[in-house]
Order: sequence, then structure tokens, then C-alpha cells
Amino acid sequence: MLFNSYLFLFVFLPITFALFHGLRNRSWSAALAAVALLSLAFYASWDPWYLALLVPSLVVNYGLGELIARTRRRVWLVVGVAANLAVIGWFKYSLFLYVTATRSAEAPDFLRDIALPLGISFITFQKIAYLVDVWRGHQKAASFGRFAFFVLFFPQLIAGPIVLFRNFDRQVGRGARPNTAYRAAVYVGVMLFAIGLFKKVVLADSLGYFADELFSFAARPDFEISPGDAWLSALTYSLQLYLDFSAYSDMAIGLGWMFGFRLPTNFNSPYKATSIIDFWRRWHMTLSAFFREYVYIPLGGNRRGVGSQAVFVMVVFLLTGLWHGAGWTFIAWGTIHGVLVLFNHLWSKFVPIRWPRLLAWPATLIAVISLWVVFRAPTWPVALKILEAMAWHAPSTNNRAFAFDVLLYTPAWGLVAILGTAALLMPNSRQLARRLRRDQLFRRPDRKRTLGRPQLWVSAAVTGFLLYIAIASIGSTQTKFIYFNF
Amino acid sequence: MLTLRSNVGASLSSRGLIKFVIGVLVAGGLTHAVTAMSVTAAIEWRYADRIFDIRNWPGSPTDGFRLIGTYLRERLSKLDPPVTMFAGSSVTYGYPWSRSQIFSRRYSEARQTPVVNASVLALDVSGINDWIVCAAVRNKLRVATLIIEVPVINTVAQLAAHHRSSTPAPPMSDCVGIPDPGYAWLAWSRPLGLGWFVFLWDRDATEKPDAVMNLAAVPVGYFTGAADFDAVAPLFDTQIATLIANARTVADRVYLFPSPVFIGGLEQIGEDAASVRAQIARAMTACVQAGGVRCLDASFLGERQDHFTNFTHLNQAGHRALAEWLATQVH
Repeated sequence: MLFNSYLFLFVFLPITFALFHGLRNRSWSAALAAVALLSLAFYASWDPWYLALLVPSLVVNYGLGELIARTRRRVWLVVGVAANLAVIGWFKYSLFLYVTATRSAEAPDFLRDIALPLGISFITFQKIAYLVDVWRGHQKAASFGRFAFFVLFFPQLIAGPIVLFRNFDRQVGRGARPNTAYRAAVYVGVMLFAIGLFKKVVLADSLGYFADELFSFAARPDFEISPGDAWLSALTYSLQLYLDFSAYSDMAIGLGWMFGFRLPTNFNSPYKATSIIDFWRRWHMTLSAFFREYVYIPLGGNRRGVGSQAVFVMVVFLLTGLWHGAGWTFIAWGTIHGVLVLFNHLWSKFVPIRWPRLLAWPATLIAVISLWVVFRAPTWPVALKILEAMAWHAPSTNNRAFAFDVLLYTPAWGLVAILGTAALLMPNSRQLARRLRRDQLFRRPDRKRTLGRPQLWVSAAVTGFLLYIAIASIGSTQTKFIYFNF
Repeated sequence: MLTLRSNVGASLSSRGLIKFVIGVLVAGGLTHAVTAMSVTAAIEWRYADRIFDIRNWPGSPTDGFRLIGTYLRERLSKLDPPVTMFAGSSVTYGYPWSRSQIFSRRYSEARQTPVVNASVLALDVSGINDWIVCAAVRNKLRVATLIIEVPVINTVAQLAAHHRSSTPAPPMSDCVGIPDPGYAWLAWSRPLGLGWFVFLWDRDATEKPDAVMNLAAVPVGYFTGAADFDAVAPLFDTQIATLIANARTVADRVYLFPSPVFIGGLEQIGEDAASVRAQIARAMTACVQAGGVRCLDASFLGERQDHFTNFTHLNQAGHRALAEWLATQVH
């Protein structure tokens, strides 16, 4: 059941929403339990067998959290982290490791048949963060129900944002709030959800059509790719990935608001970044924060000298690459990002010259876009073929990817131009949400903080437009979110 | 951590929330209305010369099928009689040429007569009957002239496939049914969003330079051999007769011509040219035997490689030649 499906929009969401808000003032625990149980159904809608992994892992992690809090023995933390990594290792990396270790194209059937449970990378990291936080002395779950609600809360269950228990449970522990506050939260949530749904269904999926065609064309050994087609493939995918993943995050955050919970922001206009370090502060912010807090800093961060820092940075980005997928292109993507981040750190530390913004921004953007080619390409040779063409090292300048319908170049480049400009100039969802919350979306910030009539009507008009176009388009374009694959 | 109230930063009364919900619904409704009107205008503007490619329809297949009736109703209501209607497969649709390059348009210019072209790619005789001619019957439409392309190769291949798999070919429609809706009703009742763009995108909209075919082998089984054809020939005759019977109820004059095939090159790629010739001849015979229509023999095109873009599709020169020839044959 995708967020962009009729089943979710017209059956699951209304039922869950009505149950939660109907129960919250009578029994807060019952409201949480209802959402948690329905979230289980939401997860099981892809494959009921996934519950056979999710539920035991939930119980075991809760138990381990209790053990760590009670005994303060490091061994339980090690067991917990190792167990979680073993689960993700088995489901996500066993086939890759086998093929790499044996250098064999043939793997046993039982390895080939392993299906990656949805959201396993996100769920595993949240649980690891919980165990580490409990070990560090943060509050453990007050009850199994509260822990289950944290893990299962459906908006963030499949593809994040990676929520920390300590931040989320603080909101849950406060109990039901006044109705006025919920009404405002629902209003903000619906708008954010509408923006996300529109970004996914209308924008990201449209770009996806072009990106898929272009990468398929590039993968054909009998065709050379022109610089124009190569750039178009890189640009369409870069925008598609950003819009697709940030759309999911917007929807998740919007849904969180609808239930009165604030989920962390995941994107902050990443293509406005003026350095690679800046990019990673803006892209998939909760993953970056996880690696910083639970890997980089515990390893030593920048406290043990430049040499160690270099190693830690590379470890973090190797893990970032691997987290995205078990494949050499992901590892290469992560490693190159690591090298660039390291270079960025060293430059900041040892070279007194600062790049002017006008140079730093395009250089960062080109590096990021080029690396998305490595990320998306099915194989390393295909990635190189596109990158070489992007560097104008191509045998032909004839654009042929859409030779079957040359008119398609118009909407493809048009979308890139419009959405690229929007990604660079328009406020992002985080800023929009902040303005919405402060009632500054359509008026100056110094006005009084009550939702006024003009704002309400304009918000409603925009939301109605976005929801109509998105919902009407679902039938023809319903696709999975890209990050579901990770 | 701030309270939820401070996080949201503003309060909202019940009335405010109700107003917001009403506003969302009204805005959604208005967007739907504007979309529906835009779609209607876009179809009128873009598809005057030939029908959209209904295979792109993103809605239900039944809707797609009924779109032909919708198209015919709308087009015929806007044209002054006497109107010539074209019904056929990919040759009459004009694949892969733009609408200004196809023979129905050139025929219209040559004869200074309004035409409507409701052809659909990849149809066989039963498809032309069930989808196009029955659409006219169902909607009680009538034209002065109906020119039907008989897609011999598609039809024989379909019938032979049924014969080989021992499954009977589905019976042809008796054209009974309720009239189809107009564009406005269609667009109002089908909130498709981006689906409208996908559907109305005309991938053959660009005028392309003409191309002459290269002799290249066709997929195995594309042309049906003599033995298979003999087995299905009686059913082939029946289908043509049924098509003619229905066609005569919607037009004052009906003309049939078998789709041109570049027979001259078939032997060079190892295909059975004699069998294809026999199939076309059989179509002509079936047409004549059915009676009440004029059967046009377009086989003069079949020896002209410079008139084809591949073995079963005309290039622009072919479309010009066919239009000029039809203009002299149709009265």
C-alpha cells in the first residue's frame, strides 16, 4: 500500500485518522494502539510474511533495551547491534558478499530467493539508535506499547525520515493535546502531504519516465550516447531522485502532523549546496545525522588527528554507499563522495582560500549530478559511458535516445528547466512548513499569529489544486518510491 | 521540546478547519472543471484529421473502445455533409506519419471534401467492424461515403493463430449497444490528471522526411503461409461479408480496398509471395461476392518499393499515390 495509492488515500488513511482522533481524548493508549495495529496492517499489505521479521525484531529490541537499561552491560548493546546488523546483512548483503567472495556469477538458489523486506534499512537503523541511546543513558521506552508505536508509526515505517526514539517518544509521552492545536496540525499536515503527493505523482514520476528511457538507451551496447542525451539523463535522474525522496519525506512529515507528531526534516534544498559537506547537511539529513552521531563521532571524529579523521570519513561514506544498496556502483558512489568530503575538510583546514559562491555552487552541483549517474547506472561501464559523454568525449553529437519520438525532448528539457529552477529558487518544504506554522505563508512575518482568512483560503485553493491533479493522475502513473529499494 | 501548539505556531478553530476543508473541495472541483474543458478543447484542436491513438487510453479498456464512437459523434456533428469516413488499420491511420502527410488528409484536399478518419493501429477485419463501424451504428451516424481498408495480413494472421491454437475466433459484434458519450461528458466523468497528457500526446505529430524501405526480413509468422490460409479462408470471407453488411447501414456508398503490401520484395526475403497474392485476391473476391459495395484493387502499389516504408506500410510517396488514386475511384 503506497502513500500514492487509492487504497491508502481513501481507505487506510481515513480509517486510521478517524480512529486516532476519535480515541485520543478518551484513551491515549488506545489511540496509539489503534495506530500501531493499523500500521502493522499497512506493512503487511506488501507481504504478510514481512511481519514474521518485524514483530520478533520489535520484541527482541524492546527486550534488549530493557536489559541494557537494567544491567548497564555493554555485552547486551553489542549483541543488539550485531543482531540487527546480522538481519540486514543477511537480507541485503548476503548475495552480494557471496558473489564477490566466490567471484562466481552463479549463487545458490536460497541466496537468490532472499526478498529484501521493505524499509529494513530504515527500521534497523532506528533500532540500533535506540539501543545505543539507552546505553548512553537516554530514557528507555516506558512500555512495550510506546516502543511498538515508535517503530510501527506508519508514516516513517518504510522510508524514514530516520526518527530517534528519544525525540519521538517525548511527544508521545505528553499525551493528547487540545483540539485547537490538533486542528492547526491537521491543516499543516494536509498541506505538506498534498505538496509531497504532487511532487511524487506529477513531477518525480514524469521525470522518471524520461530518466528510465535515457538510462536504458545508454545501457544498450549498440548505441553511443551524445553529450546532450548524457546530460539530460543525469539531470532528469538528479531531479527525479530529489523530488521522489523529498516527496516521501514531505508526505511522511505531513502525515505525522495529521496525527499531531513532528517528524524530523530530511531535505533542505540540497542542490543549493556550495560544498560537498554542505550537500550532506542538506540531503537525507536524518541519515547523515545518524552516521555522524552513531558512527563518525564514536569512532573519534576529528579529535584524533587528520589521518584518523580521513579514515573515519571514508568509513562513513563507504557505509553510506553500502546502505543504499549491495552493489559496486553504490560503493563507488559512496567512496567518491567520501573522497570529496575529505578533500573539502582538508581544504577548509589547510588552505586559506575560500571558493567564491559563484564557483563553489556549480562545482558542487556538477560533482553531485555526475555522481548520481554512478548511483543510477546499472553497471560501471554504463556510468563511464554517460560520464564521458557529459565531458563532451562522445563519438556523436546526435541526440538519439528519443529518436522514436523526437517531440519528447521538449517536455524533457522543459521539465528539467522548470523544476531545476524551482529546486534552486523556491522555498523548500521545510521552509514552507515553517511559514505555514507561523502563519507567514502569504503575509509578512510581523502580522499576528492567528490563521487569517486570506491565508486559509489561499492554502485551501493550493491544496485542492495539488490534491486533485495528484489523485487524478495516480491511476496512470502509480509507481513505488525510489528509496523503497534501499 | 516545545508543545504541539507552539510547534504549529497558530491555532485553528473548528470553523476555520471546516472552511479549509470546503476550500480544498471547491478548489479540487474547479480544477476538475478547468481540466475537463481544456481536454475537450485540446481534442477538438489536435485531432481534427484523424483519431487519437486509442491504445494510449489510460482508463478502462471499455472506455477506450467507446472513445471511437465519441470521436465519430463529435467530428461528424461539426462537419458539413457530404462527409467521407475512413475506417482501417495502421495504413489508414497513417503510421508513422504526421496527420498532414497521410492519404485521408490528401484525399480530403484533392476532393475538397470533409473527411473523418477513425482508424486504429493493428486492427484486423473484426476489429474494424466491432470498434469502428459498430461505433457508427451504435451512435446512429451516417456518412455519404465510407472507405474501408481491409487489413489482410493482420486478419489472416489472427485467424491462423486461432486456428493453430484450436481456439475459435471471437464472434464479430452485432453492433447493438447504447450511444457513446460526447467529449465533455467523457472529460468530466474521467478525472485522469496527467493521464490526459499521456493519452493526447501524439507521438507522430512531427512531419518527418520521407523514407524508402530497406529489404529486411520480417519476424517469423508475420506473413501467413498457404496451408494456414486455406484453413481459415472461409472464415475470412465471412468476416468481410459481416463487415460489409454493417458498413452498408452507416453510409450511402461503401468502398473497400485491401491494405497494400509490397509483394514485389517478398521473395527476396524468403516469404511466400504467391500466398500473400492469394490472400489479397481472396479479399477482393469476398468483397465482390458480398455485393452492394465497390471493391477497389490497390495492388498496383504492391510492386513499387519506392512507395513503402516497410512491407506493409506506405511511405509518404505511397500515401500521395493512394490518395490520388482513391480520388479518381470514389464517386
